Amino acid sequence: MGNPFVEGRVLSPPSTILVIFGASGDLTGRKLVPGCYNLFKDGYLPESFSIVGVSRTPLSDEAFREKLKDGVTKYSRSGIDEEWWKQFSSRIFYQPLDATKEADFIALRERLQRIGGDTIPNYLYYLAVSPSLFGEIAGKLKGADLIETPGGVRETRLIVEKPFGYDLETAQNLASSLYQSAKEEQLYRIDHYLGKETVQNILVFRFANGLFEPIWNRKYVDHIQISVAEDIGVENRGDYFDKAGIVRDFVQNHVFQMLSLLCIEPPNSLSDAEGIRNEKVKVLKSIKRLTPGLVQKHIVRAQYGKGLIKGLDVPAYRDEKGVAKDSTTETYIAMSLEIDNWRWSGVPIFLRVGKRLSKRISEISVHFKQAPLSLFRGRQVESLEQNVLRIQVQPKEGISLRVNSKPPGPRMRVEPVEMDFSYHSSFGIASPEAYERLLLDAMRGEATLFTRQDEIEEAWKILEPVFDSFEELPLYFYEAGSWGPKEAAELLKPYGVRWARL
Amino acid sequence: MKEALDKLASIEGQESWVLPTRNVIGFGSEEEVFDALISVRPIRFIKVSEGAELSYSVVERCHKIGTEVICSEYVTIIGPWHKVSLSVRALLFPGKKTWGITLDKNITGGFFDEIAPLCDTLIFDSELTKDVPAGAVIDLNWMRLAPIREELRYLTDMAISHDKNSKIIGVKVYDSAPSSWLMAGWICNKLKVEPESGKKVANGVSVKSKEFTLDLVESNDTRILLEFKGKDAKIGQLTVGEGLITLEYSHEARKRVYLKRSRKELCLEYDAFGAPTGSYNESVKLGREILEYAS
Ligand SMILES: NC(=O)c1ccc[n+]([C@@H]2O[C@H](COP(=O)([O-])OP(=O)(O)OC[C@H]3O[C@@H](n4cnc5c(N)ncnc54)[C@H](OP(=O)(O)O)[C@@H]3O)[C@@H](O)[C@H]2O)c1
Repeated sequence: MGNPFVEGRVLSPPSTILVIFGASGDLTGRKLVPGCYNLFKDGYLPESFSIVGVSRTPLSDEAFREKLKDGVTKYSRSGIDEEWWKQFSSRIFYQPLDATKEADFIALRERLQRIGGDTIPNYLYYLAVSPSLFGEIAGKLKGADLIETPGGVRETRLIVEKPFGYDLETAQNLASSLYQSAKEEQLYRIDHYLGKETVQNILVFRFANGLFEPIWNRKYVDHIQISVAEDIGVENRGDYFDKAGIVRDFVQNHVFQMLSLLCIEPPNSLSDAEGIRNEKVKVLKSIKRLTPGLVQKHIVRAQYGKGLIKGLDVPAYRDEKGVAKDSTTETYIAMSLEIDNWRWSGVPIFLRVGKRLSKRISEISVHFKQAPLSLFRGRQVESLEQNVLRIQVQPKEGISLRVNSKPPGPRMRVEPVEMDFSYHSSFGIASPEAYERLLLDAMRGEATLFTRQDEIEEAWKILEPVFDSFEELPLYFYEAGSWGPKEAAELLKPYGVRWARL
Repeated sequence: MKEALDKLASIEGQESWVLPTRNVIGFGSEEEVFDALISVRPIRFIKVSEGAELSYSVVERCHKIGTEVICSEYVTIIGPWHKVSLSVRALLFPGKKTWGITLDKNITGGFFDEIAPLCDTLIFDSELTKDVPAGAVIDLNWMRLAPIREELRYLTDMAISHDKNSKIIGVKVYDSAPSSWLMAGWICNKLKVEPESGKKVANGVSVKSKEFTLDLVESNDTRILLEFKGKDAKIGQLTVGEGLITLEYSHEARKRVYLKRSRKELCLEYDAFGAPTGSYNESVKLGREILEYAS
């Protein structure tokens, strides 16, 4: 019998040891450990929770803790508190390990057993290392009996970071290398966009308000825009990025994930991870495939030149460290898509994603069809604005709805006003960092917000014809700090639409 | 620069921070107008001007209205126009409409090339300049002329109540303001006449179309004469002076208060942030045609 009291309980995860591969790396210091610290402070972590960091760099537990303390001080959303840090850091350990050496994994196993003591904690492995090591690490973990079959004495799960392949074939290869040691249900592919409160709120917003779901379809929606803008360039990832480009780095994962959540059919239940993921895959499958001939009409790709960001001159992409001088990698993409199903057929969906744009902002906007003007004929009302639902994911999480309203005064005028909801002002608490939510979910074995392999593969399938035609597509240039190439505006013209102001 | 951006972030992070209702980009030295704008509702105000080096500053300006405190962010950006423009883009509050306000005589140059394209609507004053910037504009002068337009309607009502067949066949606009052409354009637009010929006359210009003449005369007083054709030809006159509009038709005279509104007052009116109207654009077009006959 299942626990009859389980429903509605905020599940504190079972006791867990989080093993972080890539412990000396950037992600660990900047996101993972600060995230865990906040979870610990907010009382979400189980009593017996520890972190074991592993990487090749030789470090003592003490030295590792000191290093992490800097990261927490700098990146924790709540800052750092000495007393809390003392309690938290006593649960952090470091184990030197080279992913290519079997003996190191045996040593890791012994260390984990010692830390676990009399208890049998679950093991959650976070692979914050290059994907080329994923298969190897999983294999060696398995070899050292550190991965168990699901439902055994302890749960063992692996969290993996993007990139999930370079194209369909490499994504499949990556998965098969992992499948040799772990089952799909043990794999948690993280997409931090899905950990954002607003993204999770899409489902609640749609399905908990009688107002929106009835109009969430082709009859009422004019078009949809998804924009992901960053003001940073490639930072110190020039090497990686130059091989990948923005489509692989952002569209294939974050953007398609947001799109599929936005457009899914109602699942059976919001607590059924497989149900939700099945529906998401269906959306991706319904996206009309671009044939190579059509790509030209639907896609604008571009690269940033030099310009100005936050008042500072910044170099052109081709002058960034690690980037080829004649690189034709895109740092910006604008595309139009259509979901060819009963709900969405005929509704254009516009995506634009870029680096070194005017500011950092990610936003989804649903533009509803216009009301007829006829009522206002003869009044000084010459146009009505569309109702727009805007879901801002970054940097501030919030939702706003634009409605037309009459400004005070004797005359009949119409002015658009925003009905705003921001997390900050409505709930008075800062939204937790995306990684916090996702780490907690993975400890609980809650997979809804993680990406399944078939979603990854569908996303690559959509993009295949795009990559195939890349050579023939013109590469435009835009100034860093601008909103991208002017050709992106042209893409929308045939639809009588403009990009939303961000 | 970094300090300014941190300051903005800290303002946005405050518990009590209210989302700005609109973005306004100001250019020129009308501090009084800008101050008034940020005191009535929370806006993100960005004042731009040209300079050799790029620099930003941010202050929070709060005003108490009744029991409510309204705070706006007042950002100043000085620098080469193109750099200013890139910086402004990053600071516009997303999803909100953006207005530009320039009360400068010169409507060409950096502001118009670099900043105006970022604005949904541009507020300017054609009293200061004969040129009208391209795109969607709100002309404060147009708003200023609104009471005169209203009274001209009234004067015509009077004529029609005397003789329902009366028809306007001649108009004389006497004005010292450089913007009388706009009034003349509006009259032509409303009468649905398109000037077919025209010539320069002493102190002005005279245009004609079938059975209609309009004279635009530079003068020290502001007066509009309407010449009606009907059972017996009549003249209606509208005079503006000392804060009053006076209407005369036949032997009736009527006085009305003319609200001489300052730029500040005009900017605070709702219409200043409304949508541009089609009749304004038509009036500009016809007004310009009339002016062309003068040169
Ligand atoms: N940073 C981000 O914001 C971010 C965002 C999204 C995805 N990712 C992905 O997350 C992964 C990690 O990113 P990162 O930025 O943290 O990378 P990073 O700073 O380069 O860290 C890589 C880590 O891997 C360890 N490592 C390398 N070879 C190893 C080996 N043979 N055995 C054991 N450990 C080894 C390194 O430690 P030693 O040299 O000490 O062994 C280091 O701790 C990458 O796949 C990246 O694409 C990162």
